Amino acid sequence: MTIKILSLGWGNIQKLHVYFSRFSSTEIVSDLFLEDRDILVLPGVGNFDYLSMVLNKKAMRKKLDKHVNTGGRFIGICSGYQILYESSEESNLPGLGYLKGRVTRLPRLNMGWRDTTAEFKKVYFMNRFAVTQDDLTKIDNYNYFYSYTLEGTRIVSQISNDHLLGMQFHPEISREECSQLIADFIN
Amino acid sequence: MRLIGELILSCELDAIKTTSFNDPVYCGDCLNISKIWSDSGISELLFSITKYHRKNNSYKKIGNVTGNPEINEYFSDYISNLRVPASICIYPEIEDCHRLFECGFDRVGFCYEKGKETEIEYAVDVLRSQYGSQATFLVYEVCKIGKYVDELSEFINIAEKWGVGELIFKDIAAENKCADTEFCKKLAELARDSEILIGYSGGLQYEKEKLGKLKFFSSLSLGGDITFIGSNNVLPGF
Repeated sequence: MTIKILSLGWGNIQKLHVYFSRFSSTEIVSDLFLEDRDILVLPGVGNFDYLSMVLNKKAMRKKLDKHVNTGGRFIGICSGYQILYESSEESNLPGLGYLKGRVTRLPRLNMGWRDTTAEFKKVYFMNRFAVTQDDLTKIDNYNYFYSYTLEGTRIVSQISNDHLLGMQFHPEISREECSQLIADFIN
Repeated sequence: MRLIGELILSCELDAIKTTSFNDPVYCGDCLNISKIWSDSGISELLFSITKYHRKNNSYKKIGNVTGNPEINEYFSDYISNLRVPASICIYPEIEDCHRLFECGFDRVGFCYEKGKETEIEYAVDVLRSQYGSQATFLVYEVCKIGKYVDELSEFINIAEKWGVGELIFKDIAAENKCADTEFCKKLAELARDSEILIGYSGGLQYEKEKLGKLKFFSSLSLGGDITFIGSNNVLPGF
């Protein structure tokens, strides 16, 4: 099993590589040649529009669908998590639609360490857009966890089941605080 | 609370400290200092590059610095191992910005400068559409630009229009002058209605006067989170 961090040609993925290497063998990949047991990581620096444009290209989309539909495991971080939803206020292009809900614009940038309803302590957020509790349609068999922005908006900070882990916060910065969550998912 | 450590760097990327923004003195290797700060529990590191060059063990201020081409090589493999997010304030050269993101920086920002608006707006637009607005910030150096209360709301509107994630007002109490109460008051008013996160350093006197419990902090992020932006001059040990 290898953790494969998808590089779309831009963005800060070195930190992710350093972080995920502590859990298992980790590679940065530019295309989706995935084994059944591989875990795909979609990194978190990026604009929804840009991500949608790249990931919804026919060949890439087909590989993503195949991985998800055959029970392959998937970790989405920040905008790499937001793109899993159906749509976003940030873009006219659709998301991947694996999760039901819409990403909306927060009153202002949500940056800093915040508590979540999950078991671990504070985790680090850096996002202007998020899925709020009101914009979410829950799916059975998924666990949902929340966090509040300083303005009091309740956002979905984490969603998971056996195959998918989506995090609005940044695990590569939160590090030890959420290591158990990542280790449990990977193992 | 957000505690931002600001490391002021010379063009050769040495950490320097100044007295009232003059007479810079070498105070250590910036990577070592940032490692110490990063491990000591601060929330974020902000690297600011100044226009100072080292020459014969002294520093000479020069103008028109367009960024250090070796910057990426210097930071690569290092920033990725820091325990905290790292931001850097540079000149709006798009290629430099891309490389800095690639070598692990989380945010790239620009100092606002009159006459450079088009350049900065273009850089923010390109970076925002690729990395997201949270990856950009704009710095307003009050000591350099001036405490123009009348122009504040116009400036904040411009920053919102450009789509920056955060606007940082720095050096309000520069040159040992007291914080400008009118300026801070107006800034606090505008920040409440602003869409972007606003932080400022300085304003200690104003905060002491109005918010006694914050007297130890010289900065307040007006987005609601207390932010302390401490430079090499004021963070413990330096």
